[in-house]
Amino acid sequence: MQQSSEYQATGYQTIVRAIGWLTIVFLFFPVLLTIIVSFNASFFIEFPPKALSIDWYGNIAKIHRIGHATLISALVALASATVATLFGICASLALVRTELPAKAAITAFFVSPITIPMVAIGIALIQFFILLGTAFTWYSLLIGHIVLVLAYPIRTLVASLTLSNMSLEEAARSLGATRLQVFMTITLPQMKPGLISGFIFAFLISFDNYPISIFLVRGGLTTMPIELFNYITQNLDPTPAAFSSLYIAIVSIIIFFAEKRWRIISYAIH
Amino acid sequence: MPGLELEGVNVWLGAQHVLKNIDLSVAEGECVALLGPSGCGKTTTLRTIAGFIVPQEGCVSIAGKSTKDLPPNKRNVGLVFQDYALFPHMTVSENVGYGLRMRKIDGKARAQQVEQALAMVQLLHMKDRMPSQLSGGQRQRIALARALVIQPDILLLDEPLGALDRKLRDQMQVELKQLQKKLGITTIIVTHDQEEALSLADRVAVMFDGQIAEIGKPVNLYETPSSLKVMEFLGSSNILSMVVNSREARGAILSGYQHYSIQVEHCAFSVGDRITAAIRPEHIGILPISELTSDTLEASTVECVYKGGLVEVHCRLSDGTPIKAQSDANCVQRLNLMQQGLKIALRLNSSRLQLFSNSPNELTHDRT
Amino acid sequence: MPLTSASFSRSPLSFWRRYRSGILLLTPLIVFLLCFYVIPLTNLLAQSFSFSSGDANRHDGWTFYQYLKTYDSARLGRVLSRTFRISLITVLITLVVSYPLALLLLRASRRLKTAILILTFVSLASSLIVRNYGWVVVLADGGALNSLLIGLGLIVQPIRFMYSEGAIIVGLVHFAIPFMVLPIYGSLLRIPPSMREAALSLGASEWACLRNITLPLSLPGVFGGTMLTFAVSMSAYVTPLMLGSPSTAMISQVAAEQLLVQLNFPWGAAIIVTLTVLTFLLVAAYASILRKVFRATV
Repeated sequence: MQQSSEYQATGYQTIVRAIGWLTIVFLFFPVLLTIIVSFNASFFIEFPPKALSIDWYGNIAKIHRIGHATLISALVALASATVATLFGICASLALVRTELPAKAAITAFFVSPITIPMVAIGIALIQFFILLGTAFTWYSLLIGHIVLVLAYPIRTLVASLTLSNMSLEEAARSLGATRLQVFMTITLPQMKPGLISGFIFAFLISFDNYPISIFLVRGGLTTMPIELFNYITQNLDPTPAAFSSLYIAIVSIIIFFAEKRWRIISYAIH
Repeated sequence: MPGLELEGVNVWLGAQHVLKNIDLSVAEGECVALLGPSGCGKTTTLRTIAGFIVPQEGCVSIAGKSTKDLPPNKRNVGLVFQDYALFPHMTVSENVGYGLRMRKIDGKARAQQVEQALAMVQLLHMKDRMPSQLSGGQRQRIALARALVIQPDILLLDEPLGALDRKLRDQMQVELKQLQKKLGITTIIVTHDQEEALSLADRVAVMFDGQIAEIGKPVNLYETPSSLKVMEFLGSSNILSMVVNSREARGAILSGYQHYSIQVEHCAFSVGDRITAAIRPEHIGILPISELTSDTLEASTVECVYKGGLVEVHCRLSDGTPIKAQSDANCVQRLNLMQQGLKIALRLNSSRLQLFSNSPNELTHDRT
Repeated sequence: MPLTSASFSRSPLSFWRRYRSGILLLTPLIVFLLCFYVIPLTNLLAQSFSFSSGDANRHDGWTFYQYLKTYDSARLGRVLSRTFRISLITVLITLVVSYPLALLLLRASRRLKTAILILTFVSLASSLIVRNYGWVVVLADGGALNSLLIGLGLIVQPIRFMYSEGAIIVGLVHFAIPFMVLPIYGSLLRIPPSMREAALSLGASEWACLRNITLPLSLPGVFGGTMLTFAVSMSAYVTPLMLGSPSTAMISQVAAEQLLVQLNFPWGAAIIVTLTVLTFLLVAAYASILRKVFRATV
């Protein structure tokens, strides 16, 4: 029920609210500043900008192999998110709808990659691939990313499926639908929020990843975060600011759109 | 000094005008029930008294003191929530003692008062249990003890018996009423259950749509309500369209169904007025058709519904008007009322026939 | 004797029949994880028990040598305590900062709530490199913070904020806030509003209400958030790499260095295994301590 709390805020309430708002500003601050700096005409990172220019946006292409790297990152992210989501569908169906021994343990196992230091996973994988002789290939990179993002679709899909109504499926069966038909027409649509939020998170986390990619790439194979990082450590100009601003803009649009259309945020909270 | 006073209280929640000019005066120690369908504003009224909602217009006074600018934690109210709201991480004693703790009553004094409160609801032996270990009825009593131990100026109960099963509810109704009378504490109960309101309260305020339609003693509200809407809301009623035939030295004669006419003692309407008459099932006598006279209505049976102690006799007048009458198993058997389509004669108790005008009129009639 | 599930699953055939569909669905996933997760990690573990070409007294067969080296190394000891210290400070600051934000979120209107959540998610989703770069912009010598302080006349020369532990902590807190806010917020959502109202009606101030009711009931979310933040800080790699210097190195960096630069796989493996096991033990100890404390807070 709504309440109109119009009482004088106590001292404690004012402090808590102030800290809350300061935190929000803190979250937003670097993003805002990056955007401002990207329009700075000067060569060095300087604030406040004395003159404005959009030259640095043009300079983005100068980041070594950035186009190539971004493409690889995007493809790897797409592929790993897709595979992880497919695995997630199987896993969530098994965990929520069928009988299995030690379900809690199995779930913990599937979700455990999040708790292991990414560096450990990266190191373990590169050693393993060297042993297999398939190191530094695009599919070994893909495999590494799948392991990384697997946990996210599994979590959101399990949540989604747990909240969904099983009696709908039973009703469909009683009306004559086969298992497959029930799955395609009833179960899958109910899993939609989990599917979409799981896919999007998997995509973003894979796209952004550095610690695992750095161990798995060499030579022609590279990813966006790696090239961006290299540029930052080797140059002082604000080109990365321009790139970052562009990146943040695109991510914001994706998330905003996804929330409006599919309400993924309200989903991920539970 | 009135226990509670609401004057011209208006509340808007968002764009919705939820409480419209609520005026309510409750004497000290009195128990008033706010009764009405969902969405009528009864819970909003309770929350406004408690201080969780601030009225945009009007004022609330508790025990003679205005509550303007007084947040909920500064008002001395005892609130019992619908879901009891017992703190799950505290024991029963800690729950009950919480209000005392906030009032800086500690140590021996607190322990003593907590024990007294628990003894009052007969749950002293549960004082070290956790709420999760209690049954629904027990939780309700602890919630009550917690609200009462702080000796509030007013006790507010939000659907207190709603979650309990039938038997427990009946038992708790009696206990609650006795406790309230013994402590003499001003009490407001919010409920959608008519029986609860009529049995617990000294006065009942029936609310529709953000307004108090009528407030009065339970018996007056049930037998002689001032509006048709209230009559139809409480219990069952049978609606008849009638016309004032003539006026007598005392009262008037009404007619409207074939040869039927009935003389009533009090009639505020003029000759020729079309009115709506309403009567409760228990005031209709059922007679065999052979005893049909000019002051009995002809009807035919539709169905009998067995309700344990009573039988509901559903029948229909010749023009199709449905009538619900009441009888006992013996009479049903004697007159063979179970047979469908049987013609019978209905005698209406004229002193219990309520008359209302046909135009929709809002009446807020205090019948104390 | 009643038929229980135990009596059924004794025979392998009935086990299969009962769990068949579940097992079939999970098989591809389990095979994948076994091949590319369990085995590589086990291999890593095994590697940590062997020698590398540069080690003295090397022989075949397994040994604790790498672990002894880890415990003996003074430098590593410093790095470990630094990592631990940074993680602890990060968790504390993040908690203090995130809880009010979660409370704000709770009481906010729907529009504000969505706006804040979208902001949090954008923060979560934008590349870590991008976010840390944002802090470079703020903390650099010519960056926003220094310009602000100089502009206000508080200092004359820019202060070197970058490449320090402080910078790392700022970056880690910024990274960790979404990880802390979301579980706490989820936990707060599960507290029925009538709890707070009951406390208020009994005379509790908002502050007392927070201490006695809201905080204890939201502890599951606080636990989850702090554990996640701690684990993530302990294993941090990119943030200390970008905002720190070699003298502020954290464990993941040292392990990576051994592997990428020194090519000393066994020692690198031992370091990372030590990190993983240590983090796990610390988190488990933390969980049990908190459980005891939780009983006491009433």
